[in-house]
Amino acid sequence: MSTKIKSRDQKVKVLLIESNPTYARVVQELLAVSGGNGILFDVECVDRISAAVDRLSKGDIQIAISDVHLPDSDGTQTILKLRMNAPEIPIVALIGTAEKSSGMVILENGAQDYVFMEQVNRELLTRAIRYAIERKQTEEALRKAHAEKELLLSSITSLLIGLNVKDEIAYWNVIAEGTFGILSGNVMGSLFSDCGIHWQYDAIAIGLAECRQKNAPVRINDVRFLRPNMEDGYLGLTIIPVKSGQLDLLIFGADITERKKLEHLKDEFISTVSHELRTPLTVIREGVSQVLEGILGETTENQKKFLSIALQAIDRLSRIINDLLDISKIEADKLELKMDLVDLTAVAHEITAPSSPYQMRANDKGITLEVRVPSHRVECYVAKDKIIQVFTNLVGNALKFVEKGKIEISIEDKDGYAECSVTDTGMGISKENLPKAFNKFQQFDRTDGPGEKGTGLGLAISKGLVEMHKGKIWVESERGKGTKFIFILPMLQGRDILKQYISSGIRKAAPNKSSLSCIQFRILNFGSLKKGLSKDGVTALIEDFQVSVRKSLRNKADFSVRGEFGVFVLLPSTNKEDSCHVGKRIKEDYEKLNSHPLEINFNLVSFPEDGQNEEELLNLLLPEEKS
Amino acid sequence: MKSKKILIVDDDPNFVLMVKYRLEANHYEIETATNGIDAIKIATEWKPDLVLLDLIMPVMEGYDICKKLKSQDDTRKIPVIVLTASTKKDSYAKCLSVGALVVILKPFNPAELLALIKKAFDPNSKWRKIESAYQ
Repeated sequence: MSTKIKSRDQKVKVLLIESNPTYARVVQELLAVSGGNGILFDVECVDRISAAVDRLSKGDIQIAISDVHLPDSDGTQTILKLRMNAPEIPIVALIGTAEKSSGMVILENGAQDYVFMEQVNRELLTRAIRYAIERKQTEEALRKAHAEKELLLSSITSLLIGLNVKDEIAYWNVIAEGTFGILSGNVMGSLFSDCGIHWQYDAIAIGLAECRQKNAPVRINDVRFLRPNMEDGYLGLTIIPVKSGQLDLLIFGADITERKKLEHLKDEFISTVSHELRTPLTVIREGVSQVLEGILGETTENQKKFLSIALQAIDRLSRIINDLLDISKIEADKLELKMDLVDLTAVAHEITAPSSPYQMRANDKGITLEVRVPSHRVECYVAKDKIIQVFTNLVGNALKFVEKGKIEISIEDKDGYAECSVTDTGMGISKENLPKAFNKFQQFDRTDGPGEKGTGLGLAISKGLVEMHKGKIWVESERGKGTKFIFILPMLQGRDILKQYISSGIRKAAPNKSSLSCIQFRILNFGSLKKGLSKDGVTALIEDFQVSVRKSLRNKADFSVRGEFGVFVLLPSTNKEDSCHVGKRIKEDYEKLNSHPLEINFNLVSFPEDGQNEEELLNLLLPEEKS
Repeated sequence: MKSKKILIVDDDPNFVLMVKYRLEANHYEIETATNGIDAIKIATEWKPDLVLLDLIMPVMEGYDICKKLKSQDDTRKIPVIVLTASTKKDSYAKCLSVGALVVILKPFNPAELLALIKKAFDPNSKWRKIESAYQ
């Protein structure tokens, strides 16, 4: 229906359904005269509903004006029959004033308007027709929009649940019905926490609260629930704030049990393959090695030469297995990062120290390996061993390609991030090969020289590791002039780091109804120390304290982070009372040391007693930064 | 000086043969076992100065052997070095938590293994102190 009554020349096609010839003539005459508003009508008349249906089916009719009393139909039946056979045609009903009370019923049954036969005049009828057509158009547009929405919703393959502000279920789609084995009719209006599913509701409740608080989507992974087949399963859910009409939150997601099972199988497979490859490799290596070393008797020079080539190949194979394991862990997001505040300049110095194998290899080749770093610390919140791995991968690579000249590790303190680079004066990478540099098993331009052969995975691993730290890595190179690998790492503020940790701690604790405590050790004499020492000097003292803290914690799986505000210790599954003992012990242990220049005190907060989310706990610890 | 006694426990007889050969060449006295039951029996009766222990074995796993050795009065003080082809970090942590000294990943560098064995016998090494914490 796209009819608009606009033009003077356009005639509105009207079908008049009237069995009373007098009435029919009256209406036809009224519509035949061109009124002040200039609309022209082209009226056809039939006297039975059957004839009307026939005529409507031919199309081109824009509106039906119908008496409700016809020889073959009576009352609201007439309207229903018209609607059924021509749902898109607007209807104006003609009724008698005596039937005033049936007017509303007629509208409810689908007519757009009605007029009383006794009062009919040209103006009234024209207006009724005009509004009926417009009203019908609006209704159609709404109906179409609704149908489209329903079509979209029904074609979604994830479960979709809507909640109102009181956490009552306001929407429950077919997939939700299937996933939980609960029909929509049985849950609508009931509380989400009490809708009949056996699951870790605590984890969901935290997600709902977080979503409302942040007014941003929240993802909850691996929510355990009981599937309709009574087996344990896992859900992956995303909660979205919608705040529209009845709906406050939308939850969508899926039963990820099968995917989890597959992931587990894949992990098991990779770890088994790795074990099964290593076992014979160990025997081969040990056998070759013993013959080469002469433990089993004299060997000739040629035999030794071949055996040492074999040994190198065996070691390369074992490196490839290690790298493959690393890559598969990175790709599956399974690599564990032991994050800490790390001074990157110290890492650079470590790699280039005279005793480091990289410095020794550089010396052997007559290459200079040096660092260019600022004189102050550049601290990033990273997994130290992984960042060392990135550096050594890059330096190891450079050592392979540089014949003479130098390799330089540099670290720069930029605004909000650290920029690290490894630059060499080697042969460089040609332009067409640059985009492929980080691909797996990509090796190019290499001439077989002495020394360790690569695995072809080092750069792919480096890229993965940098990206796991939310950083970026890229390469700049020119053929014949050398290569520069650059990676940047974000420098987070202490508060952000702590927030991340508390948040992940709560997520682990909540589903098991476990607790979590966070102790803050404040440095009371920070101000006076800072006057006497440089910033780095105070940091070094705090670092010493952190070492003492770790000893006191007896290297348990606890976590500590250092910042300008002191040292934080996170104690999983520890309640307030126990963590208070831990705090006291740490303080006493430190004060027992010969030198303890820091004056410390501590306060602590616990989940769930003191707060339900990381923001609440953090605001108790660091109130001055409350925004 | 009397040579130190080392018990090698691994379900792969070829591996056991080769490590035995190497360690004997380095003047250690060697006994071997290819399963946990033999391993515990030999450890209890022969009283080695060190046990080299594989992790993944049929019948009795390395972790259970280590736990058993550390729970018996007459074998508790014997240092245990784990030699494994498994890369599961949680299994390392489990072994260390019941008193193993160190975990070495196969294939290993022989020089490194010999150095670690020497370190295990050094009364001044830090491990001995950690070890004493379990006694």
